[in-house]
Amino acid sequence: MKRRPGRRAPVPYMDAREFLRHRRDFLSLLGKGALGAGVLGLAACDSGSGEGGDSFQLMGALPPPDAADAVPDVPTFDSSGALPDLKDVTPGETGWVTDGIPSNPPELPDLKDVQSWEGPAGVPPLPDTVQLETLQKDTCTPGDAEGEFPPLAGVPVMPDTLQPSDVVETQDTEGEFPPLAGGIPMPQDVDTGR
Amino acid sequence: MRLTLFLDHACNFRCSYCYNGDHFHREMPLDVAKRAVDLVVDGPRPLKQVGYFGGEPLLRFELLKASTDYVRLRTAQYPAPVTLVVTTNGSLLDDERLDWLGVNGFHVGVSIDGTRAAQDACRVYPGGRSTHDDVVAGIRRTLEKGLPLKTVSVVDPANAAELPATFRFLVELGVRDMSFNINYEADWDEAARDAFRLQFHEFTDAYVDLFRRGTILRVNVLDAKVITHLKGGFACSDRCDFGCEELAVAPSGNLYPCDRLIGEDARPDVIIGTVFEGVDTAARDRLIAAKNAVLSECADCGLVNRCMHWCGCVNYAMTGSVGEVSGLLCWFEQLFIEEADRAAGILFAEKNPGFIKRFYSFAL
Repeated sequence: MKRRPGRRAPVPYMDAREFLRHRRDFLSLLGKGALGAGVLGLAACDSGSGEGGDSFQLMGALPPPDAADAVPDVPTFDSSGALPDLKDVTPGETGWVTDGIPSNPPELPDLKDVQSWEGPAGVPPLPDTVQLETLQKDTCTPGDAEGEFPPLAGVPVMPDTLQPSDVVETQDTEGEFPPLAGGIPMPQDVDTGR
Repeated sequence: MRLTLFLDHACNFRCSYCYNGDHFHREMPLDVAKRAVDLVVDGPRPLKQVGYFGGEPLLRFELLKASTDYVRLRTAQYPAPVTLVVTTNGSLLDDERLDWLGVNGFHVGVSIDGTRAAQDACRVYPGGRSTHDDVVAGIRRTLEKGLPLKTVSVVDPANAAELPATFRFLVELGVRDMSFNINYEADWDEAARDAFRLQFHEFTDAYVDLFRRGTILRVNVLDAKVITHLKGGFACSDRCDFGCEELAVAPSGNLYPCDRLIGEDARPDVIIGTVFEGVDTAARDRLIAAKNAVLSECADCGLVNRCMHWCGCVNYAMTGSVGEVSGLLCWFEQLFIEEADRAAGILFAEKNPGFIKRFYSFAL
């Protein structure tokens, strides 16, 4: 079976950078639940970060969005504005979805019903900047910033042909299961920078 | 550094697709385990994780315990404890073993192919007797005792028809973190691929439905593709470290860049040293260079940054070379990206709270 190069198609959801630009739209939605005040406060805090020390005075009341922050009710996902395919809806006999759409779509779960959702006390501070791990290079080379194994006994020392390190130190992320022998490598979630 | 100790080739199962050899008995001597720990602890990078694998590692529970004691001894001065993981077939997870694993902070990975039909298609005891009840009981005990658990399910043409049912079965069992690994060495002919496409579509629908019901899941085949869209591709740190940040040790003491390459420990082209002589960095770097050469082959693909073409172990299994990509991998990866984007697009458009929490928490 021959390889068939794939084509990059429009992706109907925001990447991390887009999401950061449109964050307030989602925070206001999520604010309907238990996180309301806290999340809105965080949003306000973020809007003021770097601007001065009045951020926390805005807790619970967002400042008027400026043009750059204005977010449409339904975000568009690509230049064509295409939304996910919602046609061909057919009822599922088992109650499970068909073509991604349930016959009787349940209401969105209230925030308190979402498993593992953290309450306001657990809301981490919003980082000033989010560090995104982005693939910058076409190749990854082994890093040796921390040194190298000693040469084998009886083997001539080989010149160090490794490139400078571009291996990002991995971080333990709460909730992620460590790499498992026999498993396939998983990418880490977007780095929060925390 | 992540160290995997392959405690024994022996296993009490006879899975049809097992890449770990014929289950002959070759137990790792404790001295080899200790030398492996010494090699890493005395090496350039700190030991962060020890994983036990096989064969069935719980058949060598005393060795596992003694090795873990030695890890504790050698890393007593570390600021944080070493992460401990065991990958097991689940049939030996009794109270005694689980209590010890729990006290010692283990993460438990259990291989289960899913429903009884899926499991019995490939994962059976010698003679063909079903393993399903024993494995499910082991998973239930693990969850009851509160140990971190992840399942690994091998998807083979013989059990692919069960995939959506398997997904629901695992969720109902209480599993929230699951890995579905394709058996790339199987015969995925056109009919099998067509059938799989339909099953995977239904699988993805079930994933969407569970998020709608408020359940946050971790499912490797879909999550990986969503995350790579968010990040713009696999980061270097996401790719397998192949001997730099990862070492796998066979019972003989041979070193491999990944546990999946050990097999019957008879592949000299992917051995990168021994615990007695150390890491052959030249051999390791040759493998890494060959693995990285894949990119030029795939440079004309628009999905290259979201694809697993860089996984030398999968390439080796499919083509016999760490640096040669199979067309079958291409096919699966493109399907996974397509379905992940479909599911994520639906959930994103709905602003599903669980989905936002799972993937965009960095911004909340």
